[in-house]
Amino acid sequence: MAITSMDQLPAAFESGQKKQINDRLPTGLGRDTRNKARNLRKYAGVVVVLAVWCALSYGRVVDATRLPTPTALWDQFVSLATHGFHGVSLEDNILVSVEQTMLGLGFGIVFGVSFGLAMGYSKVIEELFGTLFSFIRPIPAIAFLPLAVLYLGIGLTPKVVLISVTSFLFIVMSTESGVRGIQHDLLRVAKNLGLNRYQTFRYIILPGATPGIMTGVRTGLALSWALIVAVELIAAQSGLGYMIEQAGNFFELKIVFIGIILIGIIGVILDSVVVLIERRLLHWQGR
Amino acid sequence: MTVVPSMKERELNEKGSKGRLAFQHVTKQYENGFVAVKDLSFTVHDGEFLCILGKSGCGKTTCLHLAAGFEFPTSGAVLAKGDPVSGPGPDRAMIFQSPALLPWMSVYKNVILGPKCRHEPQYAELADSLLEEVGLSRFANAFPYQLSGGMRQRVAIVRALIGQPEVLIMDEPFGALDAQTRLGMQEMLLSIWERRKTTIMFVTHDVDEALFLADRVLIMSPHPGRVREALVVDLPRPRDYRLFADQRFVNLKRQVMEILHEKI
Ligand SMILES: Nc1ncnc2c1ncn2[C@@H]1O[C@H](COP(=O)(O)OP(=O)(O)OP(=O)(O)O)[C@@H](O)[C@H]1O
Ligand SMILES: [Mg+2]
Repeated sequence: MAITSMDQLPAAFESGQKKQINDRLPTGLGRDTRNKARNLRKYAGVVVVLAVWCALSYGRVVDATRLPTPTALWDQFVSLATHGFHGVSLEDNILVSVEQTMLGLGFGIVFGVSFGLAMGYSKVIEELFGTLFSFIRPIPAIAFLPLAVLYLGIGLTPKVVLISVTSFLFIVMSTESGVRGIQHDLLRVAKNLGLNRYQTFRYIILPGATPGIMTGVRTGLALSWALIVAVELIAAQSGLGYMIEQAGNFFELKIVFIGIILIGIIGVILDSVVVLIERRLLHWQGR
Repeated sequence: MTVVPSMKERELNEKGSKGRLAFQHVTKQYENGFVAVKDLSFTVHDGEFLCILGKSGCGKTTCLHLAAGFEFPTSGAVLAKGDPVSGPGPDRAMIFQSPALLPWMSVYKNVILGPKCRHEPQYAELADSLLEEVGLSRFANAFPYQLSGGMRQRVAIVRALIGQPEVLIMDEPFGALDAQTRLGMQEMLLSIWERRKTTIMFVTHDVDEALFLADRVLIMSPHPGRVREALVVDLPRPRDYRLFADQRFVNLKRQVMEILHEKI
């Protein structure tokens, strides 16, 4: 039976199964067919690159010392995963990079969201800090690295500070515009219903700014992940960036490739975690 | 049906008639210097259904914001039960042009937000019965995005009614709905009003809607906003769709159209 109107779906609401409604709506094509077509399109680019790579390397178009074959790369990966590289295991290199990114991003989120909410809420605070932040924002964080090393030494602190500052600047911006984007009538509703300042914040400002906050977190994460690798290339004793840098110095081309691919894969995984959280938090957008 | 000249209306106000809401020589100039309404005087009587009719930009929303306490007059006074309006409050519930529901809350949570935050007791039963009254009990757990425009506006009405307001302030609430849904909403609003006799101040630019709903219609003219005419609509109640074909309705409508046309 084709369901055509919302009024025919009370049972789904009563049991709180919002998801079901979408699943039960009539679809033109079969659901499976459409999903398959979408998955094909999604991975088409990756498949093309892999195919070209195979053709160039197995076909000896490019020399093996410049472009390793997928098989050679896989063998190297297995040995890297079991023996590590220059005394550091692969897991440790990955963990170091991920941990430092998360730590920096964590600070960036805490301060960025607080400041962004305050700036969105109060014109005065926005005026006080807005100019400063938009001056620093476009400067690539890597430009601060020498200063960070000079003031904070090498080790955890300068990296986490740089990441925090970078993600902070973007999260502040999108949180603030999230607050400003809240429909004005909703604030009038709050006044009309007699909500106090805390309640207005809790029930209107914070949830209303969440789409903006999540956009900021996603951007912040992407920037942080790129930044940690860049910093590790220059000033670090471990991490994926360090591994690539060392491998480069020793002409271990395969390890450089593995490092690059891992950075990409981990970036995608981290991003999909954020997207997953975003979907949960913003289910009410009905997308 | 009688056309009361606005002068006479003004005199009535000056004698200090005890209306539920009274505008006394209200002028509102916005920060940018624009005078939205000028020397506006009228009274909304207790239990009255008052419609304000006027074209876009003539200051209708401004009037409502003054009555609701979102804005304050530059000169003159807005009185609620004789006291100057000092700010918004649930005794004067506002229903907006857009439903202005919180999209992140279920219908039920939207509806109970006010009484819950004001720590009022026993809002749950009231919420259930009001949702029942507007035919939305089955949608208590739905989110706004899952509702049609008419359903959203019904939720907004319940959210306003749950505070048991003395005045309902409505800003073109049905303006965005299709004709059929709008008629349904109008009939529903009339039955809600007839049961409670809440005072209603209702803004619209639709002549049919104003005459169908109101006890009295104020016709505003723009630049700056003023009351040009106050028209008593003494059509019988309860009213339903058949009223639109009634000769008295048609005569009244012609009269209003003539007034509106003159002012263009
Ligand atoms: N905050 C504001 N600052 C400056 N001018 C304003 C402001 N709000 C409204 N106005 C102006 O005041 C006039 C009246 O506005 P208002 O919103 O009250 O009109 P309206 O009758 O409700 O119109 P509509 O039918 O289109 O909703 C308009 O010309 C508008 O440009
Ligand atoms: Mg308006």
